[in-house]
Amino acid sequence: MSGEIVRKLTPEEEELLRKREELAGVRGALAERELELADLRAQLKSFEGRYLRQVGILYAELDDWEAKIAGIEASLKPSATASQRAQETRKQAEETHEAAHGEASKARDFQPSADLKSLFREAAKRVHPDFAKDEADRQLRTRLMAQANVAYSQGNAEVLQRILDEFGNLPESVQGEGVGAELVRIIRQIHQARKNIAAIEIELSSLRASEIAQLKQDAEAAQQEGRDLLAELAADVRKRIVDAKKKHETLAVELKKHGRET
Amino acid sequence: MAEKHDILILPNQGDSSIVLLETHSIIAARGRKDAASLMVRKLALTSPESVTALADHGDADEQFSLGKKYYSGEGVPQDDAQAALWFRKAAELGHADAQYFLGLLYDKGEGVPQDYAEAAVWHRKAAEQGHVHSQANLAYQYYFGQGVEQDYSEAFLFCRRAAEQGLMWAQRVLGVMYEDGEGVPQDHAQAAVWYREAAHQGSAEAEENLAVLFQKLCNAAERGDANAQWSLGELYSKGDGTPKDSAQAAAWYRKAADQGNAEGQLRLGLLYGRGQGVPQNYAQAEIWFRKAAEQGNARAEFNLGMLYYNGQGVPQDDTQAEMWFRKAAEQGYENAKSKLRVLEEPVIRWAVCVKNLETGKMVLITPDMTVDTDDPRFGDEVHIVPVVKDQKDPDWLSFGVHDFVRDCACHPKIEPRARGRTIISHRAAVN
Repeated sequence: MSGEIVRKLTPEEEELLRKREELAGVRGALAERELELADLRAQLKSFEGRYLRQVGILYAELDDWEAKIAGIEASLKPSATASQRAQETRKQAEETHEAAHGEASKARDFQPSADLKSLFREAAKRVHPDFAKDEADRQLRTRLMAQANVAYSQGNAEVLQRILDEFGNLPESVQGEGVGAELVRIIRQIHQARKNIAAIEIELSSLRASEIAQLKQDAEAAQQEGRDLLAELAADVRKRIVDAKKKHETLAVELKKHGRET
Repeated sequence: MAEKHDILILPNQGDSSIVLLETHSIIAARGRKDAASLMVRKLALTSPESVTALADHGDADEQFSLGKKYYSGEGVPQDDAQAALWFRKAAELGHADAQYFLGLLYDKGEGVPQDYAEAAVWHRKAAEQGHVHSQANLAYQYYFGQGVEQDYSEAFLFCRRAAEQGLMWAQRVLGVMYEDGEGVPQDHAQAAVWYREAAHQGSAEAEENLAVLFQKLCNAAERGDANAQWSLGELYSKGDGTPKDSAQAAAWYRKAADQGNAEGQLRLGLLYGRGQGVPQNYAQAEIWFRKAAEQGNARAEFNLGMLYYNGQGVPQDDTQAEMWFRKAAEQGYENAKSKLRVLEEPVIRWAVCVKNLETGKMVLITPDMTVDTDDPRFGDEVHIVPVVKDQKDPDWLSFGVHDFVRDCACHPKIEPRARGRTIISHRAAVN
């Protein structure tokens, strides 16, 4: 006999221990998913910025020439369809311009370090709103989580570190909660976190199906073959711009001959 | 805690980074599509075999543009056989431009063995999709019986479609076909119309044809050929081959009409109706319309009906109008059909009602109402009101004005549709 006296755990206490472990596992999984999502978003955004700067602005220029051409054609040979076409191409040119020169084109390149990733993962584990003890706590955590997402997308390790330093130990259990109450709370949290993981999965797959993600994939596949897809695209559009300019010039001369105004 | 709050005040622009990228999917999709076609073109340069598999799955546009590149040697070594191959793929998918080009290759024997019959097959496919050059080429082949059995009617059909799309060559040739009565009953006036269209686009040949035709018609008309007289009237009335001259037109129409030429009679009636080249005179119009209508001229029947319908030159008579509209409609005259429908409907007509300032009463202005809005007797109050007309009761206008207004106000369907100073013909409104 070791003579040690071991307090025998009640069934509730045993269950609580098991659930605490389970919760820890779910937290890890949720943090991993949050990281994946934040990472994919940041990657796509940065790729989109590069695409718009490299190719998008050329599309905008091309569309502008096309609109000018359609405008001249409409005044050279006026007809309902011609003027409708002129309007449509002008509208498209404006839309392309807006897309190519908008906020999205300013996205910076994104190359997260391993450090940044683990900081984010840790922060997500600690401050995730799914593990709040009450409503006020949930609000604080929601804000913190948003901050963490922003910090990650901007590659700002400092902010993540500060979140961890200052909020890394947010209290989760309520003083004097009692075994039964804690058990209920943890079961709810596990459930909530699982639901959240499923929601993130859905968002991830819809992001991966987006056009920009597909284009990024194409570009990466091309890179494997030693090609630069965006550069090729840009060169192609540039050629088309040159053609459009030539056509515009010819039409402009013709228009002058006819003495009509644009 | 103050320190802790600091951390929450991060630059806020980051929030937009969480907003998704869907708004740009159009421009991203465009990049993907272009990248894909770029790849096909690239592959075509290195190994045409590997691209076959790719472009086979690609769309007809891609295949066509690849064909064009081979044809012109733009970016790839010029190769007619390759061009034909790609045009055929796209053509088989129904690409009209590709069908046209394939037709051309067969026509010239480039990249494929020369074969007019095959050329005609592909041109017909494109022509039926509205490809104007294929229509012209097919018309040419039918005209000369090249690769197809010679057939003026088919040639005329396709030539007209191309001409209507504004192709100068087709317009001139259509003029020739009308002038010589090839594939269509001879019609010098139509010939002149199409010569003029082509001449306006700068065809010197059409200009010359028109001048010759005009001279020819002058000679024949002077000799007393009624058809030529009518045609000459047409040329003068439209200004084809000669400056527009309504008086000359009327004179030649009259010569034709006096010889019993129905078209001439109709045209003379129209000139009287409009007061062009002759003093406006509905009674004269009625005489000439009737002569032509009695010869079964549909347009004259319709116009005679219109005189009865409007009560112009004859007492207003819907029964007579209906009879003549019906005759014209039976010959397929569309305007007459729609007029018949109007007559047969339980009629709601639109009438203009104005306030006479002198008497202070509402006045119904009808039936051929135009309101002179500058007439000082009328105030600003102009109503356009629907009048339910009982077809069996031709006296629908004999309502007292007050009855009329009251009736209108009672009718569930009736409400003044427009207010303000308006000029309207109720007939126009009905249509």
